[in-house]
Amino acid sequence: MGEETAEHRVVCHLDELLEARGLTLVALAEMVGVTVVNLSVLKNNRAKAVRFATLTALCDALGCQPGDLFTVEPA
Amino acid sequence: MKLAYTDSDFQLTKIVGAGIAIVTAIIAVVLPLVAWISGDPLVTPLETDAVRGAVGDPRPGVELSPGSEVIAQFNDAGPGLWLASIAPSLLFVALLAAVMWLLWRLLDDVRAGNAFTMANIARMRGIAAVIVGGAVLVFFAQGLANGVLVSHALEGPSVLFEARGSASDLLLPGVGFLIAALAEAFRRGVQLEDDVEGLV
Repeated sequence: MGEETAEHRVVCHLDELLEARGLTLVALAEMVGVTVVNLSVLKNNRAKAVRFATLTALCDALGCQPGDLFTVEPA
Repeated sequence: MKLAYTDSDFQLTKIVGAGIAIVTAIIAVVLPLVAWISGDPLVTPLETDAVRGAVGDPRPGVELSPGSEVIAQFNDAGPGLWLASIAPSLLFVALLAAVMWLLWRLLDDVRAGNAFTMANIARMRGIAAVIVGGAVLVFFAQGLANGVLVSHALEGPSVLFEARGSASDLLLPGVGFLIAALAEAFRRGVQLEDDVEGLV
């Protein structure tokens, strides 16, 4: 479906951050106001884009910066 | 009053579309076939500017009824003449069925919330192509068929092609081009939907 999309090397570290803070995905979803399904998409690196509003809410809930949440793997 | 296209409207559209195709097939093809099989005379309007007496009298076995349009009755029409009279209608019904089938599949996807897919773009382009190309084909088929009928109806030289064009002949191709333009809007929709998929 649709035309080819660009590949990316962005990796999401939501798993590590949740474990470090003792939070579950469900709890985070309630704090951030995003569905568990969408957070799961993000956690499993299947997301193609993140809204700034979502990114802000995630960083506030996890007490981190975007660079802690996402890194770019070397080519 | 808020206008909304609900599930029942989808069903109604499909039923109306199917009904139009079926009724057209019955009137344009089935009834003439039944008349042929029953041995009835072939009665058909002739699209011709020829007036009785101006280009010759009707051939034996043919009766002409002048009026706002010339109606010819062939009392001993052979298979070739019957086929010539039915062929343009058969072509039209086949094209109409193709459009209805594509539209039916498109409506199913729209109703399921999957309007913006490459398959639906192909369907809309297909509908446009059938309408534009079909209008031209039917015009020429009708002209050739009418030529055969006029040649068999009137004394005088054979006529290869007999048709009258008017501004209303451009209506169907115009609709086809509009649908092709709409397909381009759907193509943009596919791009946007692809951008949104996976957006958190």
